[in-house]
Amino acid sequence: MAIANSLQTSHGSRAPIDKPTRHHGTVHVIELRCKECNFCVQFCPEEVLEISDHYTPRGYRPARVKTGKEGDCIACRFCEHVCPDYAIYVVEDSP
Amino acid sequence: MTANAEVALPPELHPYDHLLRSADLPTIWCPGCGIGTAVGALIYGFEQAGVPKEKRVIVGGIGCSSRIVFYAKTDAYHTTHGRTIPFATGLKLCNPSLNVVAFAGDGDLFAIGGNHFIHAARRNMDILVVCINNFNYGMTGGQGGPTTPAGALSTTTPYGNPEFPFNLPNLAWATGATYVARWTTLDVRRLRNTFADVVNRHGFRFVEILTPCPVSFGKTNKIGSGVEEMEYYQALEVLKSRVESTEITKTDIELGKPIVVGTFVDRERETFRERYVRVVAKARGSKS
Amino acid sequence: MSEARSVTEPPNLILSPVWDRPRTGTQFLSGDHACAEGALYAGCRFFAGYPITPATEIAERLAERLPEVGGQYIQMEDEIASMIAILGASVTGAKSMTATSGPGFSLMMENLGLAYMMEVPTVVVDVQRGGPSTGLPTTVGQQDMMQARFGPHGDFTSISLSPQSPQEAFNLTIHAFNVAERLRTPVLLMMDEVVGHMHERVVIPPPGEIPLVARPRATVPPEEYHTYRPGPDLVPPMALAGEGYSVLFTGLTHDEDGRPVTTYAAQKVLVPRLRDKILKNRDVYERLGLYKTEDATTLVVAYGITARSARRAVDLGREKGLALGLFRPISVWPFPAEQLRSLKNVTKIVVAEINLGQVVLEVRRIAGPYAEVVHVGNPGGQVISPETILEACMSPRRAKP
Ligand code: SF4
Ligand code: SF4
Ligand code: SF4
Repeated sequence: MAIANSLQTSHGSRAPIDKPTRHHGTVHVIELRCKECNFCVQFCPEEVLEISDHYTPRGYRPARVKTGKEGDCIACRFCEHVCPDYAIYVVEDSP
Repeated sequence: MTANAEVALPPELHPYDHLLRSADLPTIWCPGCGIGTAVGALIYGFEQAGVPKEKRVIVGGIGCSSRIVFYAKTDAYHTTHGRTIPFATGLKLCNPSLNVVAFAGDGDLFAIGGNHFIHAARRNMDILVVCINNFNYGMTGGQGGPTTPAGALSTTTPYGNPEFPFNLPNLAWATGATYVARWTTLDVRRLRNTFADVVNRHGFRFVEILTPCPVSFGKTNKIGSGVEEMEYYQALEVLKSRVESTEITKTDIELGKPIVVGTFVDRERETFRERYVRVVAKARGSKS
Repeated sequence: MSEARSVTEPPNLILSPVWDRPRTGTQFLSGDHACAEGALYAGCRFFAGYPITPATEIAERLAERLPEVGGQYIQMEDEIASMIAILGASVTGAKSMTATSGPGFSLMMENLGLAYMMEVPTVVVDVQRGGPSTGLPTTVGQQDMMQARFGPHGDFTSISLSPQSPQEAFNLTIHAFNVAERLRTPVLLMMDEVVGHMHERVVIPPPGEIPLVARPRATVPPEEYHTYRPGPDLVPPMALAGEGYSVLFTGLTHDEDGRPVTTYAAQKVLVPRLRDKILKNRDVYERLGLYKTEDATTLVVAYGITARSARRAVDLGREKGLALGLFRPISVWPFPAEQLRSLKNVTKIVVAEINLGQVVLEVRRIAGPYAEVVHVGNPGGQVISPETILEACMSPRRAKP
């Protein structure tokens, strides 16, 4: 995804000259650890995540990235930090 | 909690896996419990502050929070109910190069262990005390305790709590703590930064973490799920830093009222150890 | 973050334990002070306590002496805190001790149980006074002996030593540390008010003359180490805090890695091992005082201060031509049962102790089938006289009911 494009969408038409380039991340969910607590889903600032419709062997529906939102993660890592079960983490894509 | 062997974990690893007893995951904590978030923040604090791995020591008591010892990969001591602080005291005094954290719940630290808390704060013992405050006894099924807000429901206050709770930051300040902060698990960023800032410091440091306990406190008081308790915090949190000492009494927690969070106290005071080293010098000097 | 104070420990706060102030030679010491000196000799460098009569003098002596040798004394907020602080100290490798009397001993029970379960070496001194409750703070009792054996909840095996003099208080305190270290277990020194407060000649040998024992330590690399995997002697080698082993100690029933496994299967491995590591290593701790027992048909069993009255009673009886002997368990628990049974001529045993019948229960269990077992005691408050003991030795055998 073109970084310039994403900047335009979120910050208007002028690319900020005094701000670093916007970060982008790929979300990984370790499904077997997820307990469907919803913390990541609820507090993701970009609303990238949702609860999936399948169940893990432990009986929880793990978090996942919404279809079509794969490119929207800004690698803020809030999901990673708030997850009580070390079940989700974000790898920042190189710009 | 189910056994881990049933399905092999996928190859990708959480960045904290090497700092966790990861073979024992998932944790025993309920879905929507915030303790794991606090544990992750503490691990981050150790990493960020550059505390060598072998110097990290966590002392737990008894209760949900104290289960930290079974997940965070440090030297870990799971002691008796209420006794984290005196155990940590002996440990720290006999090996001052260790970075010692007493991590326990509100019932453990302030009901059965309250006496130890105030005396360790008075002595300015070199330990970081982390209190998971979920406003009730979670592990035993949601009984009222020393932090249950007045009027709140629990299995032992079915008509509403007739008692007033402790204001923990106020207590810590009054008894001599050199650093006092309160965050909720929603403030995970600030919490992480707080830990990174304070793990390496000296003196008696206290961090209170308001934590959702959906199966007990949240359910009984109709706050709802863990995420709903987080939203409750989001709605009521007021950030105030460096509260003046005369203002610290205004950080009481009442049901449905604003919750003041922030770093309330940050001061310096001679520690027990610093003073005791002088005792040793005096004892050795005067007798030689 | 203030950089000046950001290091974990400034070098000027590291105390290096030294032993350059031994008070050796012949001294005139109370039992309490002799116990304190024994602790120092043994290498104890951490004492946590709370004042209580008649054990306070141990704390006072150590408050003065520990800083002289680079050790630390801390007065805790209560005996609960004292008991667990010494466990925290011990997991770093420090030799630690606390001292108390009945009421404080009661408060220590829960964390004493933790020490058995977590296998933390330490020494607990109980200078016994009359009880129950506040009882007789300033006078003698031997009423905590069953508490020493069974005080904490659950099954465990206590090692309890009982000195009869200040000299023995000194020597047994060293022995207590050696045993605690060797077997990774708390050891109880069951003194009494009279031994604690009496002043007598005590000889403190030069450092090194009495051998000191160190705990078994982890030698394998961390990947191969298991916190609770026992050696052939059933004692798990101990990794200390800060050695990089990420040890996991818990009071919950646990597996060899210290992980909580709260099942019958785990319990039936762990708890019997904790018992067996004591019972199968008797040579480590067992000490016995025998006096004129070879031909004795009547035996006095006594420990602590009462053993001194008993010895006099034996002499008085011998003067009258009676075949009396003294059996003095210095390690009262576990009771030296085999040695008692091996005295084949004995038909009568008088157990003298300052209580209404405690160790006598164990003696009766062991010797009841072949000997008449009689108890001589009082409810606390005074020493039992040699005459009282002799009288019990001479009284005719009770008719079988
Ligand atoms: S890193 Fe931030 S933006 Fe990306 S999924 Fe997590 S919370 Fe959402
Ligand atoms: S925060 Fe963690 S446990 Fe909760 S839903 Fe998200 S991934 Fe699952
Ligand atoms: S009972 Fe409450 S505190 Fe305990 S694990 Fe469950 S949610 Fe967490």
